[in-house]
Amino acid sequence: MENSPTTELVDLVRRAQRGDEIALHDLIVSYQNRVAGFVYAMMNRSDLVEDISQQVFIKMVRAIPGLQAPAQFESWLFRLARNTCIDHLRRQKLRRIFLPFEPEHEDVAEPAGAVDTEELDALRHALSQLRPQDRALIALVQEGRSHAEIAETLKTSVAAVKARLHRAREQLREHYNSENEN
Amino acid sequence: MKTELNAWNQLKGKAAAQLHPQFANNVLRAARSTVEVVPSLLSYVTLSAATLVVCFFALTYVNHVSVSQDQSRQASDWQQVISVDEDSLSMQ
Repeated sequence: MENSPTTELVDLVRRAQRGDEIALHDLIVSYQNRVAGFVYAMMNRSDLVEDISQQVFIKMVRAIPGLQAPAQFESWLFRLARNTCIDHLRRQKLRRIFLPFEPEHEDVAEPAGAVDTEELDALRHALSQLRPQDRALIALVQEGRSHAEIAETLKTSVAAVKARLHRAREQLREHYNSENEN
Repeated sequence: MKTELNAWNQLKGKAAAQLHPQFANNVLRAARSTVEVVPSLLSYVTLSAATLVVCFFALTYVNHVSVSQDQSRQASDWQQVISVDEDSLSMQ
């Protein structure tokens, strides 16, 4: 999919809004990998990727009839993804207050055969050091969203996005390089 | 910088690999079943009202039973007092 909304995408969204199952299916297939990448960058746990991506698309299916501007579909979808991840992280934080886990239960190991390369390990570590809001910014940029689109997604100004993004990138690079050197 | 780009590509690839081959179909099926299962606001209100009515009647019944037991116990106590008084009067 291109970043600028094509008439093809707008048409697909309009058909999905009318409840066309094939259009909904095509939309999910077109965006599932990008949403999964975004979710992984946000949550930093591969075992949550499918579950949270599914929640994002269920919300999409249920809310798409109310989408006012089909051309804004991508920004809207990634806003749904960001909000779902941040809600999940908040719930996780609350759960930790009321149900404190032992350290060995907190750090669930990745499944066997899923060992990361050093580069990916360093990136995951660097991302985990950022605030969720900053992770969302970086992940949106990685999805090819423009500053204006991110500002629209986060309901803020382009200048604020640029400033926050600059800071977040600096922090990410710092953590990534230090982890990579180690 | 190039390694960071590689890392992002690996992250995206790994994330995509987590999805089930029938992911889209599963989402559509789950979305349909969620719509059927999610209760409406009206059903929450109705259930709350019904619970309130049941609790009110249960409380009224328990209160009625306990008051009538107290009254019958007090009546029998008074009956005893009266009979003791009558006995002492007849002795005099």
